[in-house]
Amino acid sequence: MKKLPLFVALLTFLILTPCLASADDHEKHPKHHHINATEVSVLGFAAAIIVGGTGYLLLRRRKHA
Amino acid sequence: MTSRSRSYLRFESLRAPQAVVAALLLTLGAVAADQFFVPTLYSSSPLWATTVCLLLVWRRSDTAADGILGERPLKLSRARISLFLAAHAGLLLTTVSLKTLLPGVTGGFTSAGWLLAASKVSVLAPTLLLFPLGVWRKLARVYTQEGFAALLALFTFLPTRWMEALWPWYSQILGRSVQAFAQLFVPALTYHPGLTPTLVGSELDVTILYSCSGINGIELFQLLFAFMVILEWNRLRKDRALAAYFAGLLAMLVANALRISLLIILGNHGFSTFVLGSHISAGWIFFSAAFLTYLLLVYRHLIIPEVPRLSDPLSFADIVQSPTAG
Repeated sequence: MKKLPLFVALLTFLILTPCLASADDHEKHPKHHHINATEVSVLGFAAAIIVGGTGYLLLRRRKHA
Repeated sequence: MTSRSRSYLRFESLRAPQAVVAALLLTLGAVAADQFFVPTLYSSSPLWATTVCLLLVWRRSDTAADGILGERPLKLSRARISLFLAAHAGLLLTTVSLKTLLPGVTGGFTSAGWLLAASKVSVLAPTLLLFPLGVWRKLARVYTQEGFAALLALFTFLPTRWMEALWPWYSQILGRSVQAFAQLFVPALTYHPGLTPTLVGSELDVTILYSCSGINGIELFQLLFAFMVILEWNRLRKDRALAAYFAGLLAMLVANALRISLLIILGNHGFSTFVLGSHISAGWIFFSAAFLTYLLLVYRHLIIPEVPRLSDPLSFADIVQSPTAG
């Protein structure tokens, strides 16, 4: 399971996405990074595809090892 | 790349006749061109169907296709390619003239809507001109499963239109199911029916929009399942994979109902700010987890166990192990 750290990193990235997308008031916190709902959705979809695909490849590797 | 990883990623492919692959590539290019020049024809389904068929035919590792035409290699004739291109041009002209005759036609369960849907699928028809009927019969016999998978992709892949059509009915089922489950933890929850049903709680009210229908989870499942099917095609139990595909779609709908229920439960127990700010991303995490859990449950049932290969021949001593030797 050498690719486990990569998988964990991807999961962490996915879990941290909500922090990037926090719906704070821009005037109150102008330095905060903001992305809109569509961008969150695209980012989430891409991350979910990567996580799902990597998870499947790890499962495949384990079954055929 | 080590020999082990090479073996892990091996592609036992490229046994398909070049003419079949060329015909599918031509189809893919022509369909994309049709949709580019006449946007009314746009639908991702024919593109997905052709891509799935192309990849599965390419992945096919057995030699069944070798005997399609006996000793004569299968070829695409220039005359047939010209006919194919002319048919696509004719289709474009027909669609443009129909659009002039029937302005403002949109999708839906009306005669004009069905006509529009048929025209979107008809972009695949000129492919029949690329080979004679006899060759198509032989190809259909050899590539039955690949063809069936392509049809499945054509009619079920990324089913936005199906979901949009079913939404008025399905939104009520989803809303009621979510209420039934979430009410166990949020007793004050009340249900307000409508096209976008609303669940009113003590701390958070949730309106279930079309984008919460689970269509995203279904699309994620379909793409990842297709990826698995393409990679495992040569050792896949096709009948079980078909059942697992439809069961998986259902599982994603159930997972979506559970996802909305959890958001309502959390939102009404002090986490409303988190739910409001993060429900989209949390949804993707949930759908990834749901897909991986489902795959973990079904994967081993879908794959034909591998027979050990004799790539490294056993030595005489390995074969004749004398019980007295040890």
